[in-house]
Amino acid sequence: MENMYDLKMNKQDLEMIKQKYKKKSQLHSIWIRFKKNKMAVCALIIFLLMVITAILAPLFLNYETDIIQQSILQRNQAPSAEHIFGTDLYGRDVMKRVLWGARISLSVGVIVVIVSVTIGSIFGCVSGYYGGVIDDVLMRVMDIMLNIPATLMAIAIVSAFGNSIRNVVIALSIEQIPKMARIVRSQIMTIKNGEFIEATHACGTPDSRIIFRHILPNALSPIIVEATLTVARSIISIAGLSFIGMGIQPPDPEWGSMLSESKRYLRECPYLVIAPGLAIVLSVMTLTMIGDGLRDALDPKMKK
Amino acid sequence: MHKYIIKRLLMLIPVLIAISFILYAIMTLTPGDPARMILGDAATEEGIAALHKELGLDEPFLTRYFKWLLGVFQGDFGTSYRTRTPVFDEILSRLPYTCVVAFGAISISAVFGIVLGILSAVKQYSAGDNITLVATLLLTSMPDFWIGLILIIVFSVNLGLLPSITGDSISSYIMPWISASAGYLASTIRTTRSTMLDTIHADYVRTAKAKGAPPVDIVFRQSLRNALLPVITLIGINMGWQLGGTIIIEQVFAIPGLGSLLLTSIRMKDTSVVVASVTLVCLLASLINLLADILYAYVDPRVKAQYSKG
Repeated sequence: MENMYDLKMNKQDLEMIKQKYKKKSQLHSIWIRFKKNKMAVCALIIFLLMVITAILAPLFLNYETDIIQQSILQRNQAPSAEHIFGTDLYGRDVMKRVLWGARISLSVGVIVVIVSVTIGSIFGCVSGYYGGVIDDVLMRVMDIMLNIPATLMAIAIVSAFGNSIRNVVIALSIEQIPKMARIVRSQIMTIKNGEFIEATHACGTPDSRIIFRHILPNALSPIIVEATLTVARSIISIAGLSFIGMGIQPPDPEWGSMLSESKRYLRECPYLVIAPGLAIVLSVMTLTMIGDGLRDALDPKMKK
Repeated sequence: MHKYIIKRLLMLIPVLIAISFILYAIMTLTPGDPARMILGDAATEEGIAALHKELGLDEPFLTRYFKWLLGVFQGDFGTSYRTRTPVFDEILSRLPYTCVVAFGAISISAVFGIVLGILSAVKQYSAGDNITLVATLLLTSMPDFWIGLILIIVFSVNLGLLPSITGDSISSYIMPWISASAGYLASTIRTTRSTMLDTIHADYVRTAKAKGAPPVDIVFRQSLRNALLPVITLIGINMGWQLGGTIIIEQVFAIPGLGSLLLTSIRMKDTSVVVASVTLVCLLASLINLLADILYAYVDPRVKAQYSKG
């Protein structure tokens, strides 16, 4: 009987121990450290609210009637209770267009990050892990790409292949890939000389498994931080491209192209400039703050 | 050191050739015909064929590219399809505007960035330091063209102090300078602040303090010289980016610089103008980066020793 009891206790203990250590997972401790930075948490909440509004926008706005339908009677109205940020030169409500614009800017930003992180990581891994000729060739190509000022490169690509969201995404991704590849490469080069990697070599682990299971997870934190900041940069870049007519085309309500439309009416209706600009500033600023917070939270030196 | 500079300059040549080839390919192999653009919708097939022959567009792509490249090595950058003037003259007439905007903006961001960075490092955690940090966050989040638009609304439309279109007077450059320098100012402040903090807390500075060196001496003679190294690199990189980045600012203030030339040329498929001007910007950017590296070695004897060894 006593034995049985013991066993039961042990099981309970085991569960408790499991629970205890499950809670203290890597992710959890990162979150605890992230939570200490109040600014970053505020930024995260604001950013998540923006994302939710962007996703839910079709529920309370109709693209045809609210976003692109023109009504000449209502054109160029100053901000009022009905139209908080006024109406533009085609009589469309600026507030609604800015809300819809979040869908475009944020999704382009996220897609650019996914593409550039994936391709940049592959280049960086191969280049950093194998070194030698492959590394030289790849890094030379990256150098060439970094040598072309980003705006020029993006404009050349968009103008050559035509104005469309897909081509803007391609142009912005090409702009970001070299930076990502360099960051991943430098991480890999420091990690691959570690003793635990030597041990995997001794076990005869295949290269792909070493890279994806053992090296890449250790290199993840700078990649995550850079990815957050890349979304921010992409939002500014896409607004800039649209501003000079090389990005998202009207009537789609992209923030940059809205600013471009309002440029001609600075004297008559300066209020048109406010809302799209604030939207850019708010999204970029929150993302930068989240990125900074993540950098501190992921830094092993900050562990206590 | 000389060896290193020569090596860097030689390495630049293949890079520039590669850039020009990629751009030439993008411009030529994608849809759009310059002859059709010049003649408009009413053009006849014969007219287009004749213009093709005149501009040399009837030749295959590779032949055209290598002819152009051969010309470049002889100092001839080709002829613009659109204006039929030499590309070199066209670029030369636009370059000064871009350079004035870019170098002005970089100088502003360098001077104010370093000064504010030092101040906020010396007075760490003071009210001024916190305000500066929030300001840098705001500055990096604002797109430069939006700052430009706001400046126009405030200073041209409402106050009537500054002209909204850039001409030849210096006052018309003030707004382009401010809006173009904002982002770079923020990064310069941040870098200067963090490197200054690193050196201020270094052992040798503490020793100097213990020996009773005056604070001015500690900041300027002991810390600053070491702290400035990464800042120099940053300014070099910024300057390179700025040359390409003024393209959007030029649209805001209607500046007839390289950016607006490039945009028109891209729309008109004016291949040689596009390729030549982008390659030129890349060349300038690389030279400035090289200059920053040389300056780096000049300021830091440790780096110089490294170069002369290798």
